Amino acid sequence: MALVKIKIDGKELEAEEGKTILKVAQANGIEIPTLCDHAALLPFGGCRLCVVQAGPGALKPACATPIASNMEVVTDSSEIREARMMVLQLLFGERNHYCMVCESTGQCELQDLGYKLGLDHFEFFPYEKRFSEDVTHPYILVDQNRCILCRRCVRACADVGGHWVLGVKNRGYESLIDIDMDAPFNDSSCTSCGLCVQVCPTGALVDKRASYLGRKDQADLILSRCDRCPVGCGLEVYRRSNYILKIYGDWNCPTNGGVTCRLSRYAPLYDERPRLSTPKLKEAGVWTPASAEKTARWMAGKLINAEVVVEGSLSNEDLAALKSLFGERVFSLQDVAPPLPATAKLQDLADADTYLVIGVDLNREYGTVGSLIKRRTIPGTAKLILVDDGFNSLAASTDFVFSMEDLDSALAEARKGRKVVIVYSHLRETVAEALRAESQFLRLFLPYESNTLGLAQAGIGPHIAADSERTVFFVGENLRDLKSRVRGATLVALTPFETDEVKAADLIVPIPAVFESEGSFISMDGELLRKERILEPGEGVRSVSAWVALVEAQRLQSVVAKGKQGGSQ
Amino acid sequence: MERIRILKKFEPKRENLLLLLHALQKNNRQNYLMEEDLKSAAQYLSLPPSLVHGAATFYSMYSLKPRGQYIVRICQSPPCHQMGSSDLIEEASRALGVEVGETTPDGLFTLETSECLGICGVAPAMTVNEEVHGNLTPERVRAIFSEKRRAK
Repeated sequence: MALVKIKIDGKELEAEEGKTILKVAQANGIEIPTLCDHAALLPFGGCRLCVVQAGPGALKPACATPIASNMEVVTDSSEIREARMMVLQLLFGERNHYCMVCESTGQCELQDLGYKLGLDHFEFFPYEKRFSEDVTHPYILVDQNRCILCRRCVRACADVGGHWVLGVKNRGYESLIDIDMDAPFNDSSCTSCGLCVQVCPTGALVDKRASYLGRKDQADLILSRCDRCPVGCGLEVYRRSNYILKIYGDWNCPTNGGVTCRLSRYAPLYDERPRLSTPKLKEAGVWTPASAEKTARWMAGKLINAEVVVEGSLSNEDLAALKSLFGERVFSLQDVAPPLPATAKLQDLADADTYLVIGVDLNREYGTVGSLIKRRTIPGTAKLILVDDGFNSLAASTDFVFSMEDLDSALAEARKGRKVVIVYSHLRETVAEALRAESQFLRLFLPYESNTLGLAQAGIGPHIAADSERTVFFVGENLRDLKSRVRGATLVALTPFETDEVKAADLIVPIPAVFESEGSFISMDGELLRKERILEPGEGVRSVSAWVALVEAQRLQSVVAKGKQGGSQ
Repeated sequence: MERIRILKKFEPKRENLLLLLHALQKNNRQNYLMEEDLKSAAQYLSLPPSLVHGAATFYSMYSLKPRGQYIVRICQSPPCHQMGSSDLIEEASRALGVEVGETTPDGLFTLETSECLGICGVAPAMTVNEEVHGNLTPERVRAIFSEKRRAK
């Protein structure tokens, strides 16, 4: 792009042709008030707060007006101030903005502009008509009374999230944010990705759980990575004292560009399983709390003929610690190897023209992958072909749905594409075989667990079975799958939660929950990502590495003790 | 089945949405778009439901509520207003016994208002379905309604 000369408020600047006035002004530290504009969204030009004088004629919206050679822009004059004030008056007059009782007060862009532009009275009387609210959604509250129709949520839902759940119904001042076809939010096709709440400038879309718990600017911002699945989305975590206020997607993260899903944004915060806060030992059928020392000694005594089975959410550091103690006897609860080796990375989704998704509901798991695909297939830029036998909510967004039996037809349809990406996780052998033949297709493997690739790299393979002679140490949350395989064996569970399920063990040992430990893991793209510790775990809770160190110390002590005994005899 | 026959008359391209909605509405005995109509249109054109619902509620020529056999639309733009269209609206409301936006209990008439019909030369004007009537007086409005009732 050619550089052109323009003047903003008398300042001579050079900028790329085609950039908007707003972008150039922002890049040069010139402030223009905005409301509907959002850095992660395309220009919209809806609110008219950013109007500037650019050449003769009417005022123009800076966010949607490209610069031209020798353009002279004025961003502040009495005419401009008057126009902006009128916009604010109309916005405040149209709906019911009771700032003093609004969840967003103090972090509301509309309120901020009111203060900034000196709004000291209402010219048009608000509070005459009541608008609807929708409280049905488990995580999000919609209050049309506080909506300014900037459509950020609609644009984020469609263009960024790829969901197209939100829309606008009716016209003019009767317009309202629409959910599917006027559906209650909870019965809609919403995947709870939370983007709409993240971009809402007012209190029209509210995070229910975070309501009235504090403002963003009162919280510490910690940039971390989500370890709930192998995508490894970048997150902005807002922490206030020792609780998490809310979790946003990190717009600047190259992996997800702000998109996240229910699993990273809401699910962990709504986890109400009881925490295990102290080690407990089953003695004669009764659970008795045990000290850390006693626990470690007990575990150290069981190391001979022991093995450990881990969930794939464990960090590389924890895996290394376990390997130092158990050597080669560290196994994985789930599969580790892909049914077909991957040949694609997430960025290959950006310009493919056909996606062949096999047996994964991307609205429910690997949600960011779903967004990256849907935001291209729903507008018709690319084609989504779905192969699945059970219920798959993706079927609603494509005409090309096939059963596993009809895989051949799906492949025939896919062969029409120029750049085809197969997206898969578990595959039946016959299906894997058929896909292997299609070597021209790129393959995006969705690892089974967050750190499946880390397990593979550490040489950890799946666990088969254990007999009653053994002691099996389990590290993770989901003991159910393991229980049937280790009948009769002594079972030690290192787990964050005290569920009925873990009580099948003989000793339960508390470890940190999702936000209480830091560590690295390998994402599906093979990148080494780091998760930060956000919260401090409770007193009795120790990290896996810390427990391993305690056990190791106990083991050495007993070796030394035995040595001494041996020497004295 | 009938719905599918109507859909198939159009190429499944998103620019056909408005024409398709008109065809579906016309086919409906009560002159409105049912939820099923919108859903099938969305599916046929591969459009998100929210977008189809948005379009159907944006344009005043579509209705999502059952309407009468005759849709009466009285123009209320400035030229017709100057020529007394608000009297016509009042008269029509009295004659039909319904408010603007409502349908007569016998399902014959729905009273609506309209922006400029483009026939300001014969203001005040109204349309009854596709028929255009100009140079109206309250009496003429009553007479047109009686005619329609007789023709039933």
